[in-house]
Amino acid sequence: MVLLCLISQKETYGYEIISNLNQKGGGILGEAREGTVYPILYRLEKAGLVQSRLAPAANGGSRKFYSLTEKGHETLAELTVFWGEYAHCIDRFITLSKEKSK
Amino acid sequence: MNAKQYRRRVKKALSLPAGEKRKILRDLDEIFRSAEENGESETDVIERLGSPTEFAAGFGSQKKFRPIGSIILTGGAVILFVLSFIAGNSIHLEKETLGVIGGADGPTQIYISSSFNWNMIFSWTGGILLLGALVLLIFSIIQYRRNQK
Repeated sequence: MVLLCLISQKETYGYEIISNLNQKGGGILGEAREGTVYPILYRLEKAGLVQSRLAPAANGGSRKFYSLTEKGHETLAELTVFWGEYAHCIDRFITLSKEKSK
Repeated sequence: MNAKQYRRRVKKALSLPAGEKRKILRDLDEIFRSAEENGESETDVIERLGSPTEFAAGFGSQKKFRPIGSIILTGGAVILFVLSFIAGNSIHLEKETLGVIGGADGPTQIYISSSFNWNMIFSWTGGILLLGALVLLIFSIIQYRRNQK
């Protein structure tokens, strides 16, 4: 889901995704590594949530740029709703337990 | 292990259609190149990626132990052995029938010897195939073990 959020902001590529993850989510999400991020991107693409295009990179190789597909946007919207409900639900439990311990 | 060796091992560990493999290996090349661009060494990257098998497994494909080659060869060997057996038996039958008919000794002899050769050819090729199957099986076991590490 985090990856979908990142990709939805702008077309991006592997290394940028990883450094973004480490900057913004560092500490809490744990260190993002190629060995985990690339396989997820591969599966997201296979599931039809993201699409990619190859572009030549300055370093002589090619770079794969990812963007969300229509289905990817829909899934992100669904996940966002779900996450909101989930977080709200957990919050309620926390509030209850706080009230009890007062 | 350098990047090239790593790449080769990942390629071996992946059991996906060739097109998918190519995609993943291209991704791997990009990983190495991006890291290099940012001043990291191949060793740094490899350490972070984990073993080639682990990396390949992330893509949802781990090579299973499938000694297909040796199975096919063994099958071929069995068929050939059966054929040689049948050939051997039919020669006896034909020899007898020839005897009953009372054909000349000369032609009969030639017939037997030529049939006998067929029998030999069948069993010899069968034997060679079986040997090949054994070698392939041992080879695939070694490779599988190495991939497991």
